[in-house]
Amino acid sequence: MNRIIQHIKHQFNNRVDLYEKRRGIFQLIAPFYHEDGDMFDIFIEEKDDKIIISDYGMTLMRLSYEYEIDTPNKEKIFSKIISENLAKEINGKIFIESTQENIYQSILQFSQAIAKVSNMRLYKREVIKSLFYEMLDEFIMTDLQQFKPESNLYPLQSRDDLEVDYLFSVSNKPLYLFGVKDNTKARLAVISCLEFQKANLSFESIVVHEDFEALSKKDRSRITSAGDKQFVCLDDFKSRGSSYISRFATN
Amino acid sequence: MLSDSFINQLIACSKVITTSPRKEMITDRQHLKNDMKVCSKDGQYNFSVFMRKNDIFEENFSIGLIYHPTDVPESIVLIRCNGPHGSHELFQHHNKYHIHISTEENMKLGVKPERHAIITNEYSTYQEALKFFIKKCNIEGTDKYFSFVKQLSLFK
Repeated sequence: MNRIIQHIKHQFNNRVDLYEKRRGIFQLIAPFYHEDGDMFDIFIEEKDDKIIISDYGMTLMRLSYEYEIDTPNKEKIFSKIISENLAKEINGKIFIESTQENIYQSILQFSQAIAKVSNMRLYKREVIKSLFYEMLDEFIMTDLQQFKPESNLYPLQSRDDLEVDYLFSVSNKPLYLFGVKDNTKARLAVISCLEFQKANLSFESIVVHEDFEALSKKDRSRITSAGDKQFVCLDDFKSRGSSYISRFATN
Repeated sequence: MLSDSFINQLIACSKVITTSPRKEMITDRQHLKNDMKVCSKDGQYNFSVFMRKNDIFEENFSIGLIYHPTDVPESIVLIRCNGPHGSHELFQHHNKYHIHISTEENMKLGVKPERHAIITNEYSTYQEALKFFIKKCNIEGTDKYFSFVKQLSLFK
């Protein structure tokens, strides 16, 4: 192992150090840091003529402070990060098998994998949730271009507080779309629809929810009564929205 | 943005358990884990507590308090008591028990709030760290879940 340690130090121009954490398991002291200032947990050991670079499960432990990989989709993303960075994972331990000749590249590759897995915390629902309107906009402006969407319109000239998120001019009757991610926006969409009806505007409305079930019971009732067509979540709209607008256009 | 005094107030305010921890940690992907939810005694502030310990290296542990504000979507790790798992960029020593604490300055800078860390002699095992954490965060009613908290008190 001494030979390997000297080789690693030489490869890193003596800017790194290694100390023995347990017998035969050496922790790399190198300037690879997490966002909180803690150093990456990188352990190096020799096994069956191979050099194993691993984290001994520390990356997923650290991630679990704020984020759990507890759904098939999260597992899929995690596996993709691991495989695309040429690493492996067994029971939470992320590792790369290397050789003395490739150890420098392998350590850098491993640190990339650790950084990317650690950043999965950015997929937290509370962070992703704020992206709902951006994701809706991206989908409408790229995948629904054939319906000539226009954004941020005010159908009543005298009411600049009643905004329609998107307009699809695909038939004689305008089709208004409201994106709704919470109770407040749901109420605004309800008020807008009722005011447009009161002003005798001819239109139909679509409501795309971030999560219909997350709305309060009263808000679910109100918006179901005021809107014409609802999609319970963005995925629902992505899978059925286009065909709905097409059918609306031909009616 | 939280001020340093408000962060300290949140850490120190009297808290009660709202979702109980397990009596024993469970194993998950090479680490042991436990969690609980707490709120301030006046019901105004909500928090969660995580307890983690590496399965192989028992000195690699972390116990933290996360604040969940009601007015903004993101939660904030206010304090984390760590074992000597490796270096920190503020102190180049791999063998120190340390505490991460969120600061107003870090929030202003846009870096991870708990990037600030201090070396501590307050504990030298996971159990001592948990005891210290419970006292520091003023969490009541933990005796029935963590019997060693009471036992450790007898020897100090």
